[in-house]
Order: sequence, then C-alpha cells, then structure tokens
Amino acid sequence: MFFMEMLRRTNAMHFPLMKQTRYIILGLLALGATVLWVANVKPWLLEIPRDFYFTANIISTDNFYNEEEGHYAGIIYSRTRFSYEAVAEETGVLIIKNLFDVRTPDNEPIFSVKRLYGIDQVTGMHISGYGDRDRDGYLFAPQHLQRGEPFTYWHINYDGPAHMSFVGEETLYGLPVYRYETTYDDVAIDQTENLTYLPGVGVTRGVELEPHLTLWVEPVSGKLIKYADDTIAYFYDLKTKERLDPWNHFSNTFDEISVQENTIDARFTKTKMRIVELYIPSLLLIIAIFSFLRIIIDPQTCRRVCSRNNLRRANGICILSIAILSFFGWMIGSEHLFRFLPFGAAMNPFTALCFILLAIIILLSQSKQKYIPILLGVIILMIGGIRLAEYGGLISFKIDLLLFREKILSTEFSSRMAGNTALGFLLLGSVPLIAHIPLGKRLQLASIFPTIVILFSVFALFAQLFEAIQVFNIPPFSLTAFHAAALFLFASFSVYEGYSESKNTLSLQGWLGISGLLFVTILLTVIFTLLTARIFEQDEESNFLEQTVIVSKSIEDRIHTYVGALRAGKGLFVSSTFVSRDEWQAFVEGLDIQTIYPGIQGMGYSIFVKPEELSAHIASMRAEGFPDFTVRPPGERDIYSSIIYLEPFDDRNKQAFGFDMFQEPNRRLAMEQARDTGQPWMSARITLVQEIDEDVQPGFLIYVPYYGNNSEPTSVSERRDAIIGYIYAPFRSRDFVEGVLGNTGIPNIGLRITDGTSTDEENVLYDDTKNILDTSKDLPRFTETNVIYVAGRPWVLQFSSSANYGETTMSRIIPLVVLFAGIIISSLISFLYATVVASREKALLYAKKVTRDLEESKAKDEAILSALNKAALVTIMDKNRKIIFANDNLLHVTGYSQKEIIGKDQSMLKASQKKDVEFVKIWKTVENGGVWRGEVLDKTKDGSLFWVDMTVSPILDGSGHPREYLAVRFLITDKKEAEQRLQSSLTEVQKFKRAVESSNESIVITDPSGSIQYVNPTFTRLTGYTFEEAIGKNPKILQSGKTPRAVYETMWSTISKGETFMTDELINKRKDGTEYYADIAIYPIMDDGKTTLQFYVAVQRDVTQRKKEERAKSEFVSIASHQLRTPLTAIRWSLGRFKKVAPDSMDSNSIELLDAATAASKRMSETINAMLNMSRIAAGKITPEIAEIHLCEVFEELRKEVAQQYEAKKIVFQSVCDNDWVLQTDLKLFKEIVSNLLTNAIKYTPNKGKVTLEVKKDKKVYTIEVRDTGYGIPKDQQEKIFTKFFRADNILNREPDGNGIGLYLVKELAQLLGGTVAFQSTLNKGTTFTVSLPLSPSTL
Amino acid sequence: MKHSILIAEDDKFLAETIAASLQDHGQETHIALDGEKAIAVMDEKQPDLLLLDILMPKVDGYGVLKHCKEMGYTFPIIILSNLSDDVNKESSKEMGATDYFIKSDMDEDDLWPMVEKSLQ
Repeated sequence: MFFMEMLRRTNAMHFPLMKQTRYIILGLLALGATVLWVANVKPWLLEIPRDFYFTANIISTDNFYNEEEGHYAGIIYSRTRFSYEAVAEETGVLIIKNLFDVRTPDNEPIFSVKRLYGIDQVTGMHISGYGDRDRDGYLFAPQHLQRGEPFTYWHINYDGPAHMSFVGEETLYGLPVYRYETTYDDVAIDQTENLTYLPGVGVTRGVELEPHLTLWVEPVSGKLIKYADDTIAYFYDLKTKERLDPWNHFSNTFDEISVQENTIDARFTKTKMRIVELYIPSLLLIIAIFSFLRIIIDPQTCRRVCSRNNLRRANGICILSIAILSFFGWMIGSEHLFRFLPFGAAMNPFTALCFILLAIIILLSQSKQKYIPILLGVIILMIGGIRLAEYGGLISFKIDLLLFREKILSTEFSSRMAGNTALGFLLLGSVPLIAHIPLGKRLQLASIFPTIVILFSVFALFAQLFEAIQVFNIPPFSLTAFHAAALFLFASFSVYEGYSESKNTLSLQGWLGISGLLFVTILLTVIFTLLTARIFEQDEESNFLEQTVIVSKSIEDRIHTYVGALRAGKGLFVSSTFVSRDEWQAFVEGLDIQTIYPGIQGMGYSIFVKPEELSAHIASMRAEGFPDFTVRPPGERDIYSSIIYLEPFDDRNKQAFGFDMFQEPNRRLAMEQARDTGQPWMSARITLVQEIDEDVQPGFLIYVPYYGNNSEPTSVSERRDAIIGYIYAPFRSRDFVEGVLGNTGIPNIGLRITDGTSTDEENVLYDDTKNILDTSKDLPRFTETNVIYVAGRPWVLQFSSSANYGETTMSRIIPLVVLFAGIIISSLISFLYATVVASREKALLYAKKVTRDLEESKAKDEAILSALNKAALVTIMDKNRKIIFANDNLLHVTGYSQKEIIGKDQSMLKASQKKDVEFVKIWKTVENGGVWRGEVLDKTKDGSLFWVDMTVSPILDGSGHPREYLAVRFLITDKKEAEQRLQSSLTEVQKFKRAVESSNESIVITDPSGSIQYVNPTFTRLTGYTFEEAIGKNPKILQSGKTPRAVYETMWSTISKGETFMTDELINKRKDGTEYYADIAIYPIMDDGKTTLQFYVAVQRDVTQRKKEERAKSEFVSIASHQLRTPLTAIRWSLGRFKKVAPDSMDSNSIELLDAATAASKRMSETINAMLNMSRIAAGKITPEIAEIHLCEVFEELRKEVAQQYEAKKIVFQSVCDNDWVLQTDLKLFKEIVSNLLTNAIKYTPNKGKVTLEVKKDKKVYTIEVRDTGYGIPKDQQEKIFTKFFRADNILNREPDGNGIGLYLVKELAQLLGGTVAFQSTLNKGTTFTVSLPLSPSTL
Repeated sequence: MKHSILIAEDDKFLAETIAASLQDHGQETHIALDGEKAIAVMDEKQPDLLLLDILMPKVDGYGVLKHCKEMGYTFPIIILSNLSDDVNKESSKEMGATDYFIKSDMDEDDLWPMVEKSLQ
C-alpha cells in the first residue's frame, strides 16, 4: 500500500501523461513476474543443487552374539561415515551416491555400502528407472511436512521402503523438528546375500533384520537432521524360515557435531524457502493486484478511493481481521490456523488483543476522535509494560504458557516472546499518545516514533534472518517474534500513514526518503557493527577452537601414551619366561610414567585363575609374603581373575590387590573385547576399587591382553584359548585429565568428557564447566563438541567457553564505537538530507505553483483575447500608423472590406479629418510607450458617425520602443444616447428631489418591508433623527405607543391593499421623546404593472397645534353646552310647572307669554343639543353602533315625531317603504339624519304643501329621499348649505328660527355611517335630499 | 303613598324645581347640593329613591354610587344628568344606577311618571 501511494505520487508528479500505461505495464510485469517466479524461479532456487552434498558422522555399535556361549559378547564401537553426494544430473533427475562406510575407532575399514539413487530434483522423491534399482519414497522427507503426516524414506542399510510414522515434535538446538519412527513391519529386511561370509549363511541359513529406525526431520525443508537405528539381526533357517539365534545387535546414531551442523543447514534452507516461496511471490502479487486496482479505478476516482484515509482504513481492517481470525484460531485451537496464519498473533490472544486495539487506533486516527486512540494507546502501553516486567522477571504471569497450547511453548519461549513483543508494544502504544501532543513538536515526534517502530521491526526481521549471529546477547528471534515483527512493520506503516498527513509536514515521499536514508544508514551501521564484532569474535572463536583441538589431541595422545606403556609392559611379559614382582616393580619405576605423564593410577598385571587352581594361587601368593591375600570378591565362579602385580604398590593400589575384575560386567566387557581383538581396550565408566577416601572419582581401565610367552594368536578362538591375563592400568578420570591439563584445567574453557555415545550425566568422566561458567545464569560464548576414539571407545568432549571468553576491552568497545559513531553519522546525514529535501520540496511546490499559474494565466490571456475579438473593434497599426490588421467586427461596423482598409492610414476612421488637439495627444502618449483611452467619434464608410470608447496601446519591441499599435474600440453610441437621456432625466429627478427636500411636509420613503430608504430635511427637523440615523430603520421608531391600535390596524389593512391611507390621529414621538400629533398620508407606490409594491411614501405634518386648538374648542363647546343645559332645563321645567300650578289666575296674555318662553327655552335646548352633537362629531367622540333596523318601523316612529309639525301646517306627509327592507346601521344616528331632514322639509314648505319620505334600494345602497314642495335653495347658495351655521337668504325672513347646524350634522353623520348626502333643488318648487347608505357597513 | 326621595343636584334652582314638582305628587323630598351632603343625608334618612346628578362638587355622582354599593343600599337610583354620551350611561349602570336620563331631553311633565315607575 505504501509502495502504491509512492508510485501514485511519483507518477502524478513526473509522468502525468503516462500514468495509466505505467500501471498496466507494472501490473502485467508484476503478474508475469509472479507466475515466472512460482513456475520457474522458485523451483530453480529451491531444487536440490547439482553439487548437493550431505554428510554425517555416525557412532555405530555392534554387539555380536556368542552362539557357543549363548549370550551377547558386548558392545564394540565403530565410526561410520554417512554421506549423500550428487554425482550426475539428467533432466530434472539427480543421481545421488549414498555411502555408509564403517571403520574401527582407529580408522581401519570394516564394512562399506554404496548405493545410487535417482531422485526428482525438486521434490527429492525417488524416481524409477534411475539409480541401481527402483525405490519408493523420498531421499529424506517431503517439504512442508504436516504434523502427523506419514511419508516413506529409503534407508541405505535396509534397502527397503521405510514407512515413517509421526511420533512428536522436538527441539534440537533451537530448531523445531518432527520425530518419525518405523519398524519396517510391512517389509522383510533380508541381508542373507550380503553376509555370506558368515558360517552357513547362504547355504542353510539366512539373515533377517528387525530394525527400529528413528528420524528427526525439519518439517518445512524436509531435511534430515538426525537418524538413529537400533536393530537386531537374526539367523533363520532357509528352509523352514524358522528364526534361529541372533547374529548381531547393532545401532547407529549421528554424533552431536553432525546434528548441530544439520540444524544450521536446515534453518538456512527453511528461511530461504519462506522468502522464496512466500514473501517474494506475495509481494509481487500485491504489487500486481494494486497496479490493476489502480487501472480499474480511473485516476480521478482513485484520488478519492485510494486516499490515504482509505488506505489507512484498509490497513486497519486488514489488521483487525487478522487479529480476529487469530483470536478465533486460538479459541478453537486449530492446528491449521496456527500453521496457516503466518503471524505471531495467531499464537497468542494477548497479541491479538493488542492488534485489535491497534486496528481501532488506526481506524480512528484521522477522525475527530481524540481520546479513544489515547486510551487504547495507554492499554497497549500497559500490556507492553506487563510483558516487559515479565521478561525482566519482576512478575511471572506465564501468560503465554496459560494461553498458548502447552505443546507449543516452553517457559523459555514465553519469556523470549514477552521480551520481543514488549518493546514493540511500548513503542506502538506511545504513537497515539505522542501524536496527540498539540502541534509544535508534535509533527516531528509523531513522525519519528513510527519511524523508530519501523526500524525496530526491520531490525527484528533482519535479526531473524541472521539469527546465527549472536552479538550483544541479542536472543535469537523465534519464528513468532519474526511474525510479530512483520506485523509491527505493517501496523506502524499504518499509524505512520495516519499521523504523518499534515499540510505543514514534508510530503510522504520526502518522509519516505528521509526514513529510508536513516534506515539504510542505520542498517549499514548495524551491519558494520556486527561485522566488526564478528571479526573480533571469529578471531576469538578460532583461538577457542584451536584450544579445543589441542586439548582433544593431548587427551587422545595421552591415552595413546598410556596404551604404549601398557604395550611395553606386555612386551616385557612376552619376552620373558617369567616376570617377577620385583622385575615388574623395577619396570614400572623405570618407566617413571607417573612423573612424566601424570594421570595414571598405576600399571598392573591380572591373570585368569581357573576354579581348580584358585586355592593353589592364593597359597602361592600368601607364600610371597602376603598372608591376607585372597581373590575378591569371594564366591564361586566359572573363572576368576586376580590382580597380582600393581605398581606403585601403595595403600590405594593395595585395595585392588587380588581383585577379580572379570566378575564385574563393565570391566569384563572391556576384557573380553581386548581378549577377542588382541587390541588394547578401554572400559566404560567405572568406579575403581582404589577409591578409599571421600573424594570418589569416576574411573576407567585400559586392558592389553597377554596370551603367553612368544604367543600372538590370530583368530578369536585361538585368542580365547591362549589368554593368560592382562597388562592393565586403572585411571581416576579427574586425576587423568588434570594430569594432562594441570590442576586448573584449560584457562576460561570448561571441559566435559562423557564416555560412549550418550552425553548423559551417568556417563560423565570429567566436568569442570562450572568452574568457568555459572550455567544456571550464563551462556557460554562459544561451544564445541569433539569426539575422540580411545582404545575402542568414543569419548565426547564438550568444550564451553566462559561467557566473556576472549573478550578484551578493545573487542567490546570497538563495535560499540562503530555503532554509536554510525548512529550519529546516520542521524547527521539524515538531518542534512531532510533539510535538503525540505527546501527542495518547497522549491518544487513553488515551481509547480508557478507553472500552474503560468498555464492558467496563458489560458486566461487566450480567453481574454477571444472575448475581445468578439466584443470589440480591433485594429493594429504599424509604426507609420498604417492599418495592418482589422478584425471582422471592425469591418462589419465600418462597412469597409479588408482590401479597402489594410495599408491605409488609421485616420480614415476618424469623423473629422482635421488634426485636432486630442488626436495629437493620443499619438504623443502611445509613441512614448503609454496607453491612451478615451471616447472618440468615428465614421463608417458611408459617412455615418459612431461613438467609440477607444484604447490605444503600443506593442513594444525588445528595446522598449513601439513597434506597432493596438487600437481597441468599443461601440458606445447607444451609451452616449442613453447618457444624454439620463442627463435629462437626471435633471427631472433633480427637480423632484429639490421639491421633496424643500417641502414643508416631512417625507419618508420606505421599501416594501418598511425599511426607511429616504427622509427629507423636514423629517429630520420634525423628528430629530438625522438622515443617517433614519436610513434602514423602520418608521416604528416614531411610535409613541399612545396611538390607538385600531388606527394602525386600519392603516395596514389599507396600505396593504395598495390604497392610500390618511389620518391625523397618529401620536408620534421624536428622537428626544417628545410627542406630537401627525397628520399623515401613506401612499403605496406600485410598479407600472400595478401589481408589485415598490415602495411607500409617507407624508406627514405636525398637527399638534391644530389638534390642541380643536380640542380646546370642542371642550369649550362641550362644557358650555353642559353648563347651559342644566339651568335651561331648570327654566323649562319651572315654566312647565308654572303653567300647571297657576292656570286660573293668569290672563290670556300671560299664558301666551308663558308659552312663548317655554317654546324659546325648548328651541334653545335643541340648539344646544345640536351644537353639542356637532362638537362631539368634531371631537370624534361618536362611534356608530351598528344594529339591524326595519326601515318601515323607523319611518313610522319618525312620522309620529313630526306629526304635530306637519299637521299644524296642514302639510301632506307621505312615507314610502317596503316592509322587508332591513338596514344595518346606527339607529340613533339614522333617526337624527332623517329627522333633521324631515324637520327642515316641513319647516321650509309652505302650508298645504307636501313632504315625501321614500326609500329605494339597489345592489349596494339604500337611497332615502326626503322631498318637499318648499321654497327651494337659491342656486348660488347651494354649495354652502352643508356649512356650519349657514342659512339661505330666502328663508331667513320666512323662518327666523333655525341655527344652521342641521344640514351640517346630516352630512357629518351620513359620512360617519359610510354614506353620502346629495340634493336637488329648484327655487320655489321644492327640494329633494338624498341620503345614500350602504346596505351594511361591510359593503363600505 | 308617601316616599322619601333624595335629590342630589348642584344646581339649587333645578333641585328645588324637581323637589316642588315631586311634592306636588305628595312625596317627601330632601335636597343635597353636593355629593358629600347626599351621602350624609342618605346615611341618615335612608331614602326610598335617589335622583342623582353626575357632575357635582366634592364627591361626584360616581362617588355616591360607589358609596351606595359599599353600604349595600338597595333603593333605586336614577341618574339625572346632562352628560349625554354613552360612556357615562354605561358606566353608571354598571355601578348600580337603576336608570339614566338626560335632563335637557326631558320636560317637567316627564319627571313624575319616571319617578313613579321607579318607586313601584
């Protein structure tokens, strides 16, 4: 993913055109490479090489059966060279020579088998038709051996198919191996043909084998690490097939040196296979997949889809699924999941948990989430801490042991695992914490920490690959650690991805480069450090090895020396007829072997004594002056042996005097081998009888057989017959080794010697390792195992150096100096590089930006030019002002053709041909390099004029002088005309504005929402708000809150209908808070279509003064009326009473006077009422109470009221109405209106006239007519009759009573009811008053 | 039947005219020329009817109405005023007046039928 990102970026930056192709090629190449790799390269790399060679040293034992005596004769050792070697190659088949070469300890050939196999070069399987015969199975074992999977092996000794069965898993020198066994149950192993030299074999008898073969193989590579067999060969009767006596019980096993070498070899092969089979193809495949993914998704989409966020998400999900799968695998304990999930997590739910947390961190790392990643980071840190503590031994949860399957893990493994993962967890856990440090240092830290994690991981990988190198006690990384390291790498990339993304940091590429450089330089440092350390180490190791060789040789030589001495003793016996005790003493003293070669206990002579000779032997010995002599231990036996001479004959050796060695099995085996072979023979580990004090040491004996004087028999039976005794030497093993090496042993090297093939504790002859090394704590720096063959027995010599063997101050310090110097230099180089990269990137970014800007501006220029060409009239003139270019627009407008215009002087376009001042100015400007712009009048071909806005600019040559001139003209004739129109309309506007501004009315203009757009100076004077303060405000600022709400409601309902609203009822407030009455008119101004409201104009005037006056007046009238009414009432009522109480005493004149007074007071009362009504109307105190009235009923009431009057004048009264008619109005006011009109009509109609009251109805209105046949109203006075207190001339004389208020009231009241009053009058003919009232107020 | 009628009217002449007119019909009348006096008289005499003007010195007609309400008097109260607007008519009825008449609209002849009607 990282790689892809890099590719994407590189591509985008440097190869913008080739992107797609490159990815196709890359994808195909990677895919092809994968196929090629898997099909060809992998087999080629992994096939068995032409120079294949496998060799091992085998320690072989034989234990032949003594048919005569009916028992096994005892173990004899031999050494075997076991090897496979490629000898020829045919297509795909390798011919392998397998050799099994048995020799004596002294390297004398005993027996040798050689076979030729033909095997498949890739699989290692035997192929028929090749080699010396057809065989089944594998040369060793198949590769990728599954746990429990059986296979067939072909072993040289048995030459039959060995069907191997899985036994278990073991660890050899740190390498996991599978152990397989077979007993060849299904195959008969017959050796008759090869053993015809044995008596009777091939004639009457045959030989069959009962083998038990054990193999240790490395399962991935299928390499043989070790084999051991344990086989009994039996004779059988050829005819009856009946099994007879055994012939030989033999065994073969690899010596430790070979096993060690094989593990190293197998480990290398295994690593190589993993790289070749898994890692490289996976990498190639991933590259292929991502390249193709990149092709499928188009680059634009990819930028989105392959964003780092998505890559991060993919990584997170990947890790999460691995972790979950691992967890699942652990839960069900599936062997297969362990095997196929190549990650440490698979083994450990603890690790799985960590990776789940890690995955969540990665997924959240780009989101707004801040605290959860920190929390998870802390958890991972804690786990890391626990693991570290475990590794340090502070706590011992043995979590891995608890959680892992026990068969997989050991405590040591767990500890190592803990140590390996702890550091990783600690580092990883820190990442989210560090990344959340608020900016500043954060960026560096956030980037550096993942880098450290990556370095750690890579180092872990590296260390895994070179695990053999053990410097600075870095423990070898287990497979699990290796996988964990891979995961860390994976994970830290993701975390790195997540956090390194920032605008201010270097690009990913830059960081990769720097990290890469740092990584490479540090890697180089590590390699150099390791190499330096290795050089020292090799030097020290070769010193060590040299020491071991010297010591091994010395020990071997010393034994040979002793054998030589014993042979010399035998020589003494062979050459003498009799060797006396004194002579033997003198001989041994003469050799002075203890002085020259210390380590030997002495040299003795032991003879066989037959039971019948035993007492004589004891007697003769006693006679020699040893009265206590006896053959020990006592008891009856078939044969006795007796030590008769043992020099020096000191207290210790005296313990052995007369000891029967033949009765003890270990000694007897050696004695028999010596007897049968005639060779010196060494015993297995024994304890000497000489051990008399507390310091008991293991010991051994070497026997040289003595067959008598001048006798050297050649066959076994002759030897057995002739044997007399042994020249022998007892050894205490520590004394022996110290005799060779001195009391202090080898400096700084521990030596452990074991007898035989097993290195078990029971076979230990000598061990001083613990003097050098505390094995419970330290590991030896170097170890070496040698096998020496001494007197028929193998000895295993294990050398262990001290922990710091050979180390000097220099060897310790120099690698460290290299390391630290390297790290410092690496850091410096990386830092320098980082600086360079940073500045380079900055420059690159800048360059990119500049390029982009340039491209953009070029495109812009082109766009401008094409737009200009379309919009303007363009000409280019040469230096002499001759037109050399004219665009189509110009030709079109002017009417010239190209021919007519090119080459002409540009002045042909001018309206006036004379050289004016302006024209001179233009050319002066442009010839000096300036740009001129102005309005010019041009003319067309046909002479019509047009205005242009012309810009003339010089096109300069290299030296800055005008080369050509560019003239760009825009037609502005329309504009000119518009300007003129505008000018005149401006003047109009100006006038209006003046008018508005000088108006005495305050004028406000608001937009439809009520926001003030304009106020005139009068407004400012009136309200105190300045122009600036008022603009944008709502006129509500003027509201005092005292205006009745109803006024505003009416206002809104009126103006929202688009109608003009007027009132003088507003009580407004100035800026300073004082209030005033406003007479206001609001005009909603609509657009021309009369549909949309454009603005409101409000014209208002301060009418406070008028209002005050009006109120005072009306109050005066009101008070006056009241004050007049009460006494008037008193007068009236008194007069009324007076007339009642005193009628008799009064004469007719008095009564007449009384009546006149009563009438006058009544009239006066009416006048006052009328005046009061008038004033109330004026004060607006009358509000109509609308109710339903039946017209006919009301007419009848009115008729009754005036009946007295018309009857007095004998006037005919007629009332016309319809019973159904109903009117919505105020009853009282309606009556007042009609009553006034009727009274007038009757009053101004002469006697015997006629008055008619009639009502008519149309759709909307009732029309009430009051007709009379009276005096009429003079024409010239008709228009005044509704005026207050007006009375017409023609009635003044006839009807002096009358106040001139009636008609005024009628008109006012009618208006109040939403109606109108009109009249028609002819002098002396009569008058008709018409009152029109709406059917109901809603139709107003 | 003889009733006790209290006339609260600041115009002395009118008050006496009313009193005389009612006495003609055999009624006992008391005159109070301001609201304060009217309250004093009614508390003392417990009239059967109160004829009350609105505009009076010291305590106006409303003040008297308020007092009657507070004292829980149940005798009828007729307002005789020259305030002809509806506001006064409505509010005085709310405050316990039985009837409301405008003096200038009435003749002396109308007085007794009105009083008689109330006394019933």
